[in-house]
Amino acid sequence: MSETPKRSSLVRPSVDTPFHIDFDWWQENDANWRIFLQGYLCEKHQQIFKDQTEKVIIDAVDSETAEVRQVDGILFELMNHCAKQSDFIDDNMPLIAKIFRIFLANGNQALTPAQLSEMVKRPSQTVLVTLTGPQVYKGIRILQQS
Amino acid sequence: MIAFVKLNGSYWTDFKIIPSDIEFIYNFLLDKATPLTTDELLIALVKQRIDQQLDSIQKQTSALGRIYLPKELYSTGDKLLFPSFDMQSGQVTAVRNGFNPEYSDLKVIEVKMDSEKTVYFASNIADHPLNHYLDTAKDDPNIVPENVLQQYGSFIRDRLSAALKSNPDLVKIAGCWFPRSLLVDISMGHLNLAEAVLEEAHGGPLSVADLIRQVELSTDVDEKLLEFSFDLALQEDKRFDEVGPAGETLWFLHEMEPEDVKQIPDYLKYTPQDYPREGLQEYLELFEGNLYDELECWDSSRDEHQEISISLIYPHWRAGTLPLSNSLRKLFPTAHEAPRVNFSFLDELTQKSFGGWVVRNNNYISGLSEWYAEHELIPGSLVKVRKSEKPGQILLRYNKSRQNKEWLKTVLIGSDRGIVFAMLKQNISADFNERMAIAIPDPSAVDEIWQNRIYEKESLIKTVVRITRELSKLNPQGQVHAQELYAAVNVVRRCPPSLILYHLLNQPSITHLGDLYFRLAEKES
Repeated sequence: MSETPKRSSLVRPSVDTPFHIDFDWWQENDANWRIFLQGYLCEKHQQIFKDQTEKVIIDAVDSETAEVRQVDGILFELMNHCAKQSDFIDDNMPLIAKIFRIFLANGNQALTPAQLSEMVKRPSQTVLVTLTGPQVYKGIRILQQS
Repeated sequence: MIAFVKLNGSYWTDFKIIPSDIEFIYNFLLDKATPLTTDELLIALVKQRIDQQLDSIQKQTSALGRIYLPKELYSTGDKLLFPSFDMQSGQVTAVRNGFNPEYSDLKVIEVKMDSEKTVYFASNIADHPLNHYLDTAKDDPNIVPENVLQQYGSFIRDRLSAALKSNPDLVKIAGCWFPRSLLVDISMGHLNLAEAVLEEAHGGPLSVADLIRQVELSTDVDEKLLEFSFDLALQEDKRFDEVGPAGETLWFLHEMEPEDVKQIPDYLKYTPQDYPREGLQEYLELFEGNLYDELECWDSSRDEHQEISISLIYPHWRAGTLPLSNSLRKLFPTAHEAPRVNFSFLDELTQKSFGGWVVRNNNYISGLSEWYAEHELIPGSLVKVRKSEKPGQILLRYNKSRQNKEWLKTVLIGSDRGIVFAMLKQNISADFNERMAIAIPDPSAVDEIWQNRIYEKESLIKTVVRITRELSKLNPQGQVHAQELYAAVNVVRRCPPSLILYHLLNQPSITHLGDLYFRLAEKES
């Protein structure tokens, strides 16, 4: 986490540039990412995944069609259950921690600093500077448009 | 989105009574063993139709094939229809245990869809919205009886009433229906006794419960059914008239009803005439208040608790009646079926109570002859009526006049039975409408005109011109106001105001001066 990342876009980011958690990048660059995420689980899911050090695959059931997809269990439960709990985001959290939890709670939908600024009640420029600092925090990076 | 079972959007607007509905109602009445109102049957029918339709839709859906529901367990080879895939079908090719902390016994089925695509679905999970696919959409307003009744109740009620009426196996009385075959047989002897009881009570009115008690009719059947049967026997016997207001069945001996209730008084008889009504409304609206006429339909119904002040015209004054126009209809008791409704007036000044009748089919209220005479009212006097707190009672009053004498248009009848108007000082007791007040010193002379139908023999336009000429003599300008002409014409023949207006506006010998003023053109020339 301490190395200076290579920015993936040549375009200078602005308050309208979309960001998200780049889990692939995070897995490659932080061996402890899973342990870190486990800390975000609610009490019930902490119990379920407490002895799992490796990736746990679960059969996720689509809430509308009942289709089954095999997904990373911790990530799935974190984003679909634990991050939806009312106390998951606290007003008193540090700015970057709050942004990280916002992405988890919204299913990792990309958001711009302008949009995040309204959610965290801080100036969009402050959010932009925080996200584009020399250190990539918990995989939060610019969304690569394919 | 999951498409729940829903009723066709036009189901209720296309509603028709079918033979199975009548069969249902018949059985429903048999089951309840008590007479029920159209509204009670309507509710039962709507609920039954909803259940029937939903059941039928569910059966149709199931007939397409086995529907995939996540709560079920499936085996390899099962063929299924998938609601979330536009009812595409597929075959289960494998089943395995699933892992998901949320679902303890999750099974995952591998399905090869008709499109050759392989899709995995959950099975053996109790808690999933798709499990309710065959349930009904709870927000579908077409399956909520209260909503259906509110939105389409009136329309369905009309169709139901017509169907029930045309069914000879069902009988209706006082708004309730029952199968004829289940009624208690009432003998002629009991009906004769009922006649005697009503005679003793000066004709009535008496409730059927009172009659049953007094004729000592006793059976072991349900009390309501016995009353219903007795009501029907009375209804089918011409000696008896049902005269109760809506919701109450009261009986009166037809023979002892007042003559002016049994037959429309001569003064109120009118032969309807066809004439174009376009453009008359704006002039009718210029008439000063207190004008209500049962031959007109332009006065809209009012708040039922509002007092209405009516300016009498000669025919109602002489017949002891009031017009049952739209405004007054809401005030007076009405009935489901009875053409004549008996009720009571209460004189607010003297606190004396006396009987009155609403004659629904001829649109008048009877029973005021003595009251008009006692208080020396005249045509044009203002009579005030309002609903009492007591059901079926109407409060009646007039304002006493501050003057004892007034100059009034006075009717004089010549030896040739021609009518003449003169301004003479007359005794008055009640407030009156200045345009419509007319003193009649010799009512019997005017009666002779009505008895011999003298003015009825000539065309109405001739009467209008004749009366206009007479009235125009009362002022130097020779002007006549349409409202005073309406009151004056009605001294000699019954006529609604809009017809008089039509003639005034279209007769070449009459000039319109603006507002409601007219003048005979021949006088100008």
